[in-house]
Amino acid sequence: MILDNARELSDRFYNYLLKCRSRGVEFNRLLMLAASDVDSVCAVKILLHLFHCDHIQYSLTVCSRFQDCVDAVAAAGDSVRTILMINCGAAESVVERLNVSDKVRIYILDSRMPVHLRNLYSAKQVCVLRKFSQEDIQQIPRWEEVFREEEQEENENGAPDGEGGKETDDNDDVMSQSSQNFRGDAGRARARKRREKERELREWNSKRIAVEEGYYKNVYYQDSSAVRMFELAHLVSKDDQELFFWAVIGLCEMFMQRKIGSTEFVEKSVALQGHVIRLTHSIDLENQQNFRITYGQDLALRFYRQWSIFESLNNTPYTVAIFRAWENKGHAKLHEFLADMGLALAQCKQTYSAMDFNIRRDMMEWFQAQAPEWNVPDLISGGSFLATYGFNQKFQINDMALGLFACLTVNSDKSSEDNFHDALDTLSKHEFDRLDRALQMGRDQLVVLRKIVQSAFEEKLFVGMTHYVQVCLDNISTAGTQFAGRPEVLIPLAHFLQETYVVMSRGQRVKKAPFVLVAQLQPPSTDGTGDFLHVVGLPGADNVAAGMKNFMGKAFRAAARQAKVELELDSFEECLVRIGKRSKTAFLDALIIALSAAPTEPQSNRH
Amino acid sequence: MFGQRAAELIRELERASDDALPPYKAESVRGICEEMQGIFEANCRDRVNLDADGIEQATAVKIQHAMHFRDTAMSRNKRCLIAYHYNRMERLRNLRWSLGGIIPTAIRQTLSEKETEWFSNYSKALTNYMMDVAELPDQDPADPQDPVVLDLTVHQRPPKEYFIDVKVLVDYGNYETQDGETIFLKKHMRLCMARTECEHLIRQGILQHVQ
Repeated sequence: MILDNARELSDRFYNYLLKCRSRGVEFNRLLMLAASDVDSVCAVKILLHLFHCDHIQYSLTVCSRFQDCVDAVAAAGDSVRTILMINCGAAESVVERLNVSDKVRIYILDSRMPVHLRNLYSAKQVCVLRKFSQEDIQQIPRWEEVFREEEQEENENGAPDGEGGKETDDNDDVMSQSSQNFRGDAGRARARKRREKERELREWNSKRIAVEEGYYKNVYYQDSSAVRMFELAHLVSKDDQELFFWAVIGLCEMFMQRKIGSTEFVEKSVALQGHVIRLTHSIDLENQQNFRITYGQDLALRFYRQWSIFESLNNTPYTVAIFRAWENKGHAKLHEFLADMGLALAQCKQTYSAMDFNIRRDMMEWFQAQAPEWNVPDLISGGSFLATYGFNQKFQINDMALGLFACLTVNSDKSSEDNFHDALDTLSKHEFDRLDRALQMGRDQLVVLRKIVQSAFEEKLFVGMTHYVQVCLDNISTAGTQFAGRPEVLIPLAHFLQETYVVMSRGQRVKKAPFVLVAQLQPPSTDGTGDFLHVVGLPGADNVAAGMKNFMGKAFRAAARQAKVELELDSFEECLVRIGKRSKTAFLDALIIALSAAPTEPQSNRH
Repeated sequence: MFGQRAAELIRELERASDDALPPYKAESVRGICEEMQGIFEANCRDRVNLDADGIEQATAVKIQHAMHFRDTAMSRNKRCLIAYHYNRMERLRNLRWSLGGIIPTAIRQTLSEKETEWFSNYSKALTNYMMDVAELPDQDPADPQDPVVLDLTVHQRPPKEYFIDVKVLVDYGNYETQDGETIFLKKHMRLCMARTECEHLIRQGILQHVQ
């Protein structure tokens, strides 16, 4: 069942939770399973606020892969009647995989598409809390295409039984010859009918497989879960600036991690504009200590408000790619760009907050004037959210999203669950120090990623295959253990590498070619048996820019089937898999075959 | 001078901190009572003098003024004594609510005999009342099995929030709450639980309160 608009969300989802409170002991606890990504942290934060207001009891478990969800549900046993899955579970048939009884209700809040058909067509037990555009609805196969009517299935099952029954009948009752003749005729007719049915079923089945394949082919994202929950909070009149801030972080993260394209991001930001006005309006203007969010044009440089302009230009993926900032020539070009603009080097290398006020004020215009000349139109973002706490330095919420991502993926002695809770605490009210620390971490992570990209270019690790581009990083474990030690980081790293490579090689074909990153995260062990490689697959760069539709997960699975390699999903992302180090060659060979079988796929995926 | 000791008595009680019970000043109380007795007798004598025949008008007025003055002093003494005892009683009652039915010996020594008696009476009355409140209507009063007492002295202030957010620090397994709900506690989980349920789990270090 789909709970599409916000009103349904509040009526059928939130009111159900409220009602559960008074229905007795076994109903009143909600089990929340949350994936450990930024959007999910924000959505959980908003929900916790709502639950706190309404005294809804919950248990929250952080899951990094689907098996964690299964374990959590199994451990909770019969005591749970309502399950809410946040950014996980949409791609699986949850009722079967989680093995729950039919008394349990499952709500799925997932930004990932496609949603498993069994979840969509579940009558009541599974509810999918998300918006479906007209286009999405059209892509969903019709019910009769993928499911058979109950009675038909019963007939299928019933046929062998009937036959069995007839046989025993025959043995027992040999009295009436004529009736047996009659039965024989009927039997033949029935057999013919059955054969026909079987043929029909086979046809339908093959059609069904094709339809499902088409439906499940691309993984893409839509509609941040946090924003969805904010809409719910708005509807039940419990929204405020803080909640809005969290929702915007969720949305910005999707944009920064290339889960949604820039047009989609702008559309959604504009839709949120109304909230900005409404919520800022209510703030007492006298009290400047308050937390404020504004929306407007800004430089699309990462962390520049906490950094210096020069460092930011030197590390933002977009400018790194354009200027080739790691080369001497690129460095010179960067200086030239700044000189053209009239920015003194002393000023650019200064921390942003210490720069001349006049420069800070006019800088936007200078950048705007120079952008067309240097062919860097994306340096100025059409719209980005800015937040400020009292008299503190403003920061871009885009940066905050990256900072939170760094918090979640920092590789220390803490587990990923601890990271999740830390991230939740970071978002707590009036904790500017923690927000600052998160921004710092995001910056550090960006520097580490840039170093890895630089070394990949210097060592010429890019291999252009016929159908895709491949990079193998073996030394990642030594390059940045703290900030690039977890598999999730490989996805932004792959985006960074791809973007830079595409700009470098300037070919149309490269733009369309899928991108594969193979990386080893742990230092190699002595015997090499327990070594794993992580493989990230991205579709062509033009596809990524338009809002990623990733078919690589499917390609990986096909390749693994071909090469008989065991594939492990280490997260909820299909495009990030783990393989044994020994099967690397076999897997990559099979991947070449799998991708060459469908070379035009990236183009056909675009609309 | 009249009333000096009484004022001193009150001042002393005032000097002690709000809920402390300074030792009972039996000596002063007795002294004040004697003073009052003396005043009363002097007034009685003057009354007789006033009624005597042939008393001059000027003298009568003088005697009347003296009697009035003594009377005021006496009622002031009386008020002080009542205030002293009343305040001590209030403090004693607070002790019953905060410390329970048994007074620590250090405090017991500061009480007078009457106060000890009052305390035990009050304690008894309170216990009876608490048993009355807890008694269920369908309970058989003839069956004197383990009397149910609703302890009114605990949770005197309403909690700020009934449910609190907690984080689980260790793998604990199933935990059954008072209302029969089973909650599975696993490390790194975050829950919202009734405060009363998790107070002792927090004390044991199984849960941690999240602000």
